[in-house]
Amino acid sequence: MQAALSTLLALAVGLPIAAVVSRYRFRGRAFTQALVTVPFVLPTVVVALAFRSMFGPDAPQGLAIVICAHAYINLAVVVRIVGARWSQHDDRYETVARTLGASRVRAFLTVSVPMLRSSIASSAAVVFVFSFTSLGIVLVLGDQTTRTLESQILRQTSVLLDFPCAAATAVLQLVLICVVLGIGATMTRRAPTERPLPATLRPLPRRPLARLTVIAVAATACALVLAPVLALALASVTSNGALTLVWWRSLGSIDAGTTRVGSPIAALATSLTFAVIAGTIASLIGAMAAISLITHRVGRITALAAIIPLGVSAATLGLGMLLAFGRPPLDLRATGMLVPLAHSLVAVPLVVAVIAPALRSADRRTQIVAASLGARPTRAFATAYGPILRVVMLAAGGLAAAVSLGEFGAASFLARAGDPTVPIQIVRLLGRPGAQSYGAAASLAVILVILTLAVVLVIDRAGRGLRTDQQSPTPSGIA
Amino acid sequence: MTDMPLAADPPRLQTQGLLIGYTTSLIPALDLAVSKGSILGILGASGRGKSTLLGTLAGVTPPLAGRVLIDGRDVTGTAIHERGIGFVFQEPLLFTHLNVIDNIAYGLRRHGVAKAQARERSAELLHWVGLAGLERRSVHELSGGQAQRVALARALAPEPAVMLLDEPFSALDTELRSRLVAEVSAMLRNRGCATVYVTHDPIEAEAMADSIIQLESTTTTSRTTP
Repeated sequence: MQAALSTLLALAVGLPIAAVVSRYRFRGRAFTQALVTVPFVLPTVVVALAFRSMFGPDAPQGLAIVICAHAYINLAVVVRIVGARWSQHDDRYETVARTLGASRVRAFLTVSVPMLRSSIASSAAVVFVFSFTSLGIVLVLGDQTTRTLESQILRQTSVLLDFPCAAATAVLQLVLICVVLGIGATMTRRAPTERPLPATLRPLPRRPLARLTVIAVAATACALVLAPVLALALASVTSNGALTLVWWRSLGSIDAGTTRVGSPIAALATSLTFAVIAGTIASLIGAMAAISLITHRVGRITALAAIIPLGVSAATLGLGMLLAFGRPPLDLRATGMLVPLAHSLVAVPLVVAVIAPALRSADRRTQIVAASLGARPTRAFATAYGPILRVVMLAAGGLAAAVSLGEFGAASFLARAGDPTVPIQIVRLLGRPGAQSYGAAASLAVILVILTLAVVLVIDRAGRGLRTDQQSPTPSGIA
Repeated sequence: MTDMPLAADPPRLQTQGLLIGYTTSLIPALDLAVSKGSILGILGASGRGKSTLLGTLAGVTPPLAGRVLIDGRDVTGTAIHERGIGFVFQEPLLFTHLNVIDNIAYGLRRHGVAKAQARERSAELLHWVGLAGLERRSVHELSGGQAQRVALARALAPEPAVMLLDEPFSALDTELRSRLVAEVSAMLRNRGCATVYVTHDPIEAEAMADSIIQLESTTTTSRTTP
């Protein structure tokens, strides 16, 4: 119910934004499109806290605010997936429908929507699964009515200590996810297709009302995305209505008098360490999977194994890690490596998704030329793919680090009491009464936002550099 | 200014001082008159405004100045779906979520014709364009020529007063194109449509149109085909 409503709201808000940013050329379009992506890369716990900051610490928790937060996070899924398809849709289909007597709305509903159905179904399935397996949002903003299977697994594991029951719930959740993704894939396959046009942006409509609508939708999208983040930033520098830096100063000393919560600064150091480890492991495993994908016939099986965690919820992964590596014969709990290992598993599918297309785009003939000049297979491969691999592994490692920084679900199962990550520390602080805990949680969340956005910006820059390198003309002369 | 030779019947499609374009007019003010069952060919190099002219007649692009009249009624400010026009593009643009018969019936349904009746009339049209038996066929399974005939049948189904054709045969091979040019012009005359036919091929224009306009940036010239 919660996931279905979240999906409907994400579609209702996301589709008009997709229609505007993917089809029209206007000042600020690229900024709007980038801004809409921000909620998706923000840690869920941060988004939850941002929503609490926007509506105030005493705002009623429950279904409505959980649905809004899920729609906020998943806006980018709808805008990116549907927008990509919409930008290639031929508007003349609607013109034809209108010459046949259909009104503007009717032409859109009877012609354009069926043609966009596959992308709408794909994005809806993804949003549904994300909302269905949500944990951070539900824990911070939910109440008894919004309990998900994911939160139930956590409760069964950490409160009731009923591992068999938790495992059964995790399997049930996995089956339901597979069913939803299967339905989404079937709808996508059965949906009508048109020959896609090259993605082009058109000028703003000439009719004043239509032009105003486009601008209003873009402006509303920016306001919707910025409002919770600004509210969070404000909460970190406000006390009793006055501006202050007291919460930021308290980050190193909030644990004074209590050993239960731990120092926020220490949590930050833990998160950064885990992010570096997870980024390194994920980029190595992901690179190997991507290389095997493009070089060997059996590589598809390797790649499939690498992307399996994408369909497994964070809680299921955390529980699985706990059951596999949290007890003899292989007990890694004392090493503190369970969290970064889980994070790297969560990130590996994304790393493969970044590295494999980049390797495919490299000119394979370079490898043949190198081999013809006497290079051994490994050397020839390194000559052809090495330069791209170096850049793309760094970018993918950064992406994995960003995922690790914000990951909450698996860490909530695996993090040791005295060694929390920042998202876990935020949830713990929110569980304590008092303005100081809330202010410190907001400050930590702001740090996490800045760190995440910085990593994403660096990755984006690296990606652009890579694209520029690939587009640079090949020297035609022979030395 | 261009005056088309008027036939005995009053014009079904008329323009008065029509200026087309987005900021400045692509051509001088255009006065057209196309009577029932006749075909006006529009020739001109790329960028001269041929497609913009059709878009303006259809109501997709508002004119910079001037009026468009259909059967004597000023439709300049009328929405596309209330103008009574048919439009066939270079690509058939068949609705891929509908089969052949439902593509043709689409316009009839929008005009309030009951589903069964719309399908019956669509089947007649399909027979008329020589494609009887393909009613349930997916549009993906049609050849280029078949798809363009279905597009034409779909455009003709609501019995529009004016038909706009934007290089509808240019994607087809030469043999099929010349056959369709002859067939389609006969169909349009038979249906009594006032047709505006855009092409870049002078020979095709000669074969199909009763009169031709050559669009230039500074002037437009018109002539009647032999």
